[in-house]
Amino acid sequence: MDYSAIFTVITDPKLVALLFLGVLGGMYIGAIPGLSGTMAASLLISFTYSWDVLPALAVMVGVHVGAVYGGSRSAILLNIPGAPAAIATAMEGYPLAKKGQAAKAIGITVMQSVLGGLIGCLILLLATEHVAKFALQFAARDYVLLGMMGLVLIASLGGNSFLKSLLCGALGLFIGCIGLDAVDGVKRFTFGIPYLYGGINYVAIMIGVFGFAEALSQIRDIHLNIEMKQDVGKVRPDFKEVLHYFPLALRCSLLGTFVGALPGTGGDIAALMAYDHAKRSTKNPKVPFGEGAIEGLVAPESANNAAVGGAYIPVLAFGIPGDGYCAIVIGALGIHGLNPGPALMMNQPEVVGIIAGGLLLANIFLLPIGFSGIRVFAKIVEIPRGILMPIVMALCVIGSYALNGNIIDVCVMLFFGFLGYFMKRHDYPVGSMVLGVILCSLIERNMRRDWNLTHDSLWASFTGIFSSPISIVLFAVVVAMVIGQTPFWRNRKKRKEKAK
Amino acid sequence: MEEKSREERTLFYRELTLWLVLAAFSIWAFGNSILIWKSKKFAVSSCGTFPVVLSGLMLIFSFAIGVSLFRRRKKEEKTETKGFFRGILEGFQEEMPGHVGISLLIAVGYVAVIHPVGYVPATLLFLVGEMLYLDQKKHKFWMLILTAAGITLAFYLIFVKLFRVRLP
Amino acid sequence: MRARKVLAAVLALTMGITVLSACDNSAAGTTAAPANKETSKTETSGSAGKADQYPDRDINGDIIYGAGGGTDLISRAMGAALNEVLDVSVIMDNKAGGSGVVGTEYVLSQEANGYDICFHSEAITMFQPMELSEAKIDDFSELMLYGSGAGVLLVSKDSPYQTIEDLIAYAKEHPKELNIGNTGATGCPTIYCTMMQKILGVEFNYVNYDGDGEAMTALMGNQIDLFIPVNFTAQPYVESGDLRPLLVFHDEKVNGFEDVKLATGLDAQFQDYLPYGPFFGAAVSAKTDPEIVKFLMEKFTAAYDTDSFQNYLTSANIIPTKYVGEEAAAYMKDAQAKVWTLLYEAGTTSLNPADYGVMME
Repeated sequence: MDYSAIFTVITDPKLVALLFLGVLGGMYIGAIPGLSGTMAASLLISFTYSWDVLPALAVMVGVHVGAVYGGSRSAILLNIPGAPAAIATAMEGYPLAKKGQAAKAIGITVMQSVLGGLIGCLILLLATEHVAKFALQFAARDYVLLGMMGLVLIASLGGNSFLKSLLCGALGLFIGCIGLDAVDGVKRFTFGIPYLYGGINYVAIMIGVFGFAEALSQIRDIHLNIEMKQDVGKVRPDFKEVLHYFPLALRCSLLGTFVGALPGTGGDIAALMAYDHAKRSTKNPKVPFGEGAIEGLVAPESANNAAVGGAYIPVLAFGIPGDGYCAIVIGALGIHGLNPGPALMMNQPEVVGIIAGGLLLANIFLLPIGFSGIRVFAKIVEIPRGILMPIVMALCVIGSYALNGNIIDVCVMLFFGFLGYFMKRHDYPVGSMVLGVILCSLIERNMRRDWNLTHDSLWASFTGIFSSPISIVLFAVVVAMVIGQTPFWRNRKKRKEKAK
Repeated sequence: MEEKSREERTLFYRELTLWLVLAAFSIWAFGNSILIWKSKKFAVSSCGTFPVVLSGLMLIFSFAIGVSLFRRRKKEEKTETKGFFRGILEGFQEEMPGHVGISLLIAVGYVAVIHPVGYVPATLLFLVGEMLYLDQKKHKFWMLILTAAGITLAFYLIFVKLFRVRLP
Repeated sequence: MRARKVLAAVLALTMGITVLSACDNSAAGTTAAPANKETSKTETSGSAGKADQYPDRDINGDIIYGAGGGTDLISRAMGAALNEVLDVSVIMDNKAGGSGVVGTEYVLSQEANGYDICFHSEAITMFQPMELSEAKIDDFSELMLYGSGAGVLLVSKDSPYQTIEDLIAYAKEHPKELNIGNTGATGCPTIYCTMMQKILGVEFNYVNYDGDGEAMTALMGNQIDLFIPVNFTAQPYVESGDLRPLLVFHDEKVNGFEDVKLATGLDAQFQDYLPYGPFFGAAVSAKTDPEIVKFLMEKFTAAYDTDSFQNYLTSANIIPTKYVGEEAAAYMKDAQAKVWTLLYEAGTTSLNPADYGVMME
């Protein structure tokens, strides 16, 4: 890696300014449900069409970092995750907002995002080739095992009823199967609507289930005039506090970077895996998980920002995107006449410079930008429900329309909002359903790919696990996770703690 | 015998309704998945396997949930049932009280008219309508209109001007 | 208090009535007037087909795939080139979905006044065989095809096969043993593989991926034995030496792969099917005024000849292709005939092209 090129790039004031603006814009984009980083990226492609490649990339990288962070804002304030990565953040952050600690929650997420992002960037700067080569070794079955780790999380996300979480998870996975099958060209459950060939957009489901359903729930209790007065005194977290959570943040960031570096997985899955890891590794959280555990904020936020750095590792090493946003960045490179490929690092050091150096600067900028306006944002929660809820509902409608300019997404949103309202009231965990939708393609495609390779032999697929060290390790982890979920294990733990 | 609250009385019916919806969907899903799998000659790596497995699991889980639901019902003392359908209806009223239902209908109306009428009038009408209906603190009328107009404008600026999203 | 509730209820009722009366709203919801461009003022949207005044406002370029993809990039390059030769702007927008169906059906649903141009790829030829849409090639007036690609058979640098003959020999001895990446039943890799099966009598085991990028990663990691991406995607990997080309599916030499054997050189039967590969073009609805169509064809040709577009083709390694109007339509129909025949023989589609009057030459 050419470090001098990186230095030249980050000392160019024009590029620095563009990076700053990118992060700023990106954060607000990510904060609005329905707007996502990838949407912004598509727009940036046309917007920066006539620019030079370095300024165009500066904006795009900045927006990437900002948008990934931004999803946590609406998650904490309104219980509407801006992106799947923010689902876990909503689970811990929104209860904190209800307790009047929204500002504190936002402050923590900023700190952890910056930390995670910097760690991801560091690994990018130092170890790209090694990480990339390692990522290449991941076979289809390894992705399936990773997906299974996500599935175990489904069970743990649920409330009291294990069965209900499983049902929701299976339902979500099933919904993920809707669409035109890419392999066989068979239409699965598309009801004759061509728009559904691409499957149901999971963001529309998220907006419905988390946004619209939440609004309906709040309207139901509107007579109770619940006020959520916010304490906006202490926003910046203590240094001691940051240090206390650092080991967890470090682990989650490493996890995030690596998962981001795998082509086909990105920040969303990284954040959820990190959240699960936090749940398992935290013995006695000060506040229980689900009611505002700080660990539950630290983990996903550091992981998803670290995953951004990770996602650019295969871009620089092979010209292959590590997540959806990077795919568009690669397209942008194509427009400017550069063909990203394995030789990118050798032939285009300035491009590498703007990406690696840009990520570094963008994460640093995230600190002041993220802390800006927290007090104002926190006050949003204090708006009387009768005014806020219609605004939220309108936002849900417009946001889901904005996904693709198609009214069907809005219908999907309404439908899942309606369904989600009832599901939430009866302890059917909607988070599990959304997780299922997101994980479906990862698991199904890779499982079928593995079956292709073993000529449809289930036995060969299974024994294949023991033929590769990576697979063995992953398999062992999954088995351990599953055992840890069973009542048998949980009772053992309880008895051990009682004995102490 | 003391009157149980409507919430408690209808709990069974409410759970039952939701469960019925999910179970019915599982059955439909399973049936269709088998058809798809059959068209691909039950090949393991075809596009039919996953839906079949998943909907099969859904069937199993809904069955188990149904069993526990009915078992719980058996244990509780039967309150005056007033008839099955009356129970479901009351349950629905408990689940979705009038004001929630109307707010929802207004929202659905908003979505339905957004294309023919256009973004600006539809959003304005919707916001004003809902705010009027839901406002607990009895804010002044012109304040609500102003807020609604402001929000409509804000969304327009963000989504259309900034993001070039084609709103209707 | 009561007044407010009444007012709100009246509003709800009004909306409800409007819903019932607006019941014929199509699901895609595109019945709104096409006057959605912020940059232009549309005095009369009813100026349909006034050929002498065309174009009097900005034109919509509708790309049938999403941002960042191959179709998107070349369409935008052409859009930018068009801006150089037209007085108005062509505003590019992505209308992705349904493997190209959404964008195609959208253009056909708009007024045929020349203000909606469909920027497409060879995906349109797949609609009929795969029953994805009612749209046919004849529903469009094809303006121009301006770029295409050819498949290149790649193996990883660690592969034991040094020439295509080695590979084919091994494959014949061990049918269905070698793993080949493919990107879906209608993807180009599958089409080329079907050609090989038919002509050379070899059978490979398909392993499915979501696109050229994923499959090439797998090839580099030695998860699969071979893959047939299109030349422009393959270029950087061949240049860096990570992947080795063994065969080019074209009837003449392709830039960047001059030393690689041509399929037509391997077996003359390939001549019947090649050239075949991804291609990109633009079209308007067939109901458009022929004067407008003619005008657009001239402008597209002029845009094609601009330096900026030619530079794009070169840097993106896309094979320059120049078919205008009738020639373009004929090319597309020929491509459809070839691919439909292959899909039918492979059993991917149950529709027999002969039943639809589609024949290979």
